[in-house]
Amino acid sequence: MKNEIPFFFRNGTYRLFGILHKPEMQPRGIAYVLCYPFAEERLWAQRVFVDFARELARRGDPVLRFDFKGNGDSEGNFEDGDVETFLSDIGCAMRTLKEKVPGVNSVGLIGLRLGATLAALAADQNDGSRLILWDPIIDGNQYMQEILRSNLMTQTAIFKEIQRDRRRLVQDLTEGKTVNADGYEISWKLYEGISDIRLNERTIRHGNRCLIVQIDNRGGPIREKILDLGRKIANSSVVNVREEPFWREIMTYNGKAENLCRTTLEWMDSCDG
Amino acid sequence: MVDIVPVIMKNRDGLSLYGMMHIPKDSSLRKKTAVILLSPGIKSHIGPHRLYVNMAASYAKEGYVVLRFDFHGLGDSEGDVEGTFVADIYGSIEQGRYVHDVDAAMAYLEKEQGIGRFVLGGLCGGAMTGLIAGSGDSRVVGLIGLGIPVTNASNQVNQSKYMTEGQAASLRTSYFEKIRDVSAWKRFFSFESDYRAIWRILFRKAPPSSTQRTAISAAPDGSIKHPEGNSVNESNVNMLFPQAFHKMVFSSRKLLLIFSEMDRLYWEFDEKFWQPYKQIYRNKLNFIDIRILKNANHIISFPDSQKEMLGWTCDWLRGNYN
Repeated sequence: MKNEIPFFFRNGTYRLFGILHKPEMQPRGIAYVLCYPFAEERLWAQRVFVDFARELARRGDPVLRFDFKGNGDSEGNFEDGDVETFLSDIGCAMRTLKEKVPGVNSVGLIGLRLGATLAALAADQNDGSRLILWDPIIDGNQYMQEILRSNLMTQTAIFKEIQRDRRRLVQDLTEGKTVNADGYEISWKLYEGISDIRLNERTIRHGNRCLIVQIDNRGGPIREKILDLGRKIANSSVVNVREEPFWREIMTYNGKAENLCRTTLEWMDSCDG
Repeated sequence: MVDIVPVIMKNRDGLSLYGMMHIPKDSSLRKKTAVILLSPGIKSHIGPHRLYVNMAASYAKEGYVVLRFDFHGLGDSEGDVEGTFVADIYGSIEQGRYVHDVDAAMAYLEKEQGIGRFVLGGLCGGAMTGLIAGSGDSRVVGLIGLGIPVTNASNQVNQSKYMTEGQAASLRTSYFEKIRDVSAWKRFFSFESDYRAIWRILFRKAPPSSTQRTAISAAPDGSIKHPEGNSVNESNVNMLFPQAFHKMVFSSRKLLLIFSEMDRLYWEFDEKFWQPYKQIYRNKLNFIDIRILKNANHIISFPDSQKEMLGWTCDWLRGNYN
């Protein structure tokens, strides 16, 4: 595709990889940075991101999809990344998008799962435009416990027993070792940084409009934590969208998330007035 | 030192395929064989837990130009994937769905890098794509297959019917371990269990030994004879596998097949292909290198296993395509 440009861009000492989706018509003024979810969720969700980025470009909205430090095709090892570097990467991606596409007035953030959480935190730090949170991780500690569980499951599958339980894994982390989760090496700094996140316990200073989407395959109701987050972010709308958890390995193939895509585009249209 | 460059190439249908090329900077040390890494299943050129990023970095450090890219409809590439169930898509990949995209990648490297000899590599479906593509293309001089599947994946397949003795033994052990587990019994009486599968696993007959099996032989034209009613024909073996394997080996191309010890795909390979077929290859064993990663899973997630696999593959490349 002529309007999709893969490139590396520098954030300090390392290079990040991104794909710029140039709009197929005159830019409408708002561009979007897409923030991938964590670790293997990024790979399962990639095609939905690609499809949505292409849809936005068709409508005239420039998009930058990029990999965080140590993720995907970006430089660095996975264990080198942490919440601080991730937020710095989002800021860098926002600046890069503005530089690359003339006529962009403001940059919005769209993220999925931990990518949504990081987008919300980055919006707090950067002068951003719209914020779109797809099924954000609200309780970082709970999420990290799920990540550790994947290590326990792998141990069970390989050794037929748990050789290092959850307590030992955390101890390993505190002693400076990494813990493997589905092939990704988690460092203490990353573990601690994500575990400390309680998105609905902090005020996010985001001046623009925000869409929070709960994704589930049953059709609601919206969880209290999500509603709570909606109350913490000014000018936010909270909706539920029925969609399979396409960021995980499931039986069905989900190259598109049509309900999620349609709901998000309709919300964007409503913002445009 | 290595340059990593994003690339876009066209496949035969004009669809743009996106990828990443690793080019050793010192052209005097650059090898005359390139490595192409083929994406596994529906994942992208990054591979699970960035496995392909690490593989490409290791091989490029050895002097090989490495290309990893997304098949059409996957990753960043153009096109769509039709299909409801992932298993059915896997099944179509194992029938050669992406072979023409491999051809496009080789054509791209020939044009852009002037390299005309290729080692194809990949995990799971990527390995099978490489085997099928390589068997029909003399530019392919070798294959690195990680956890290559020998059976047909399909949502319709009754897995318990085609279970290997290794899988059945593993499940039997786990059932016996659950005998005192109240929740397991509750589930058993909830009518949610797959009783047919449990019955098959607990009471299946031992399979015939390899010597008792009907002999499978190579026909003079290089194809393989599959006598009616033999154990392999009755199994769910993807018949493209033995055909492509045979073509590769009998045209003197080298295969490095690495399996993870705890992967059902290893048990399937061993029981359904290697044990019954290996007599055909007794004079060709110098073209076949089969290795088992101890304490490893299908995606080779633990770092020690990954390091061992990278060591083996680098040694094999160095030894054969220097």
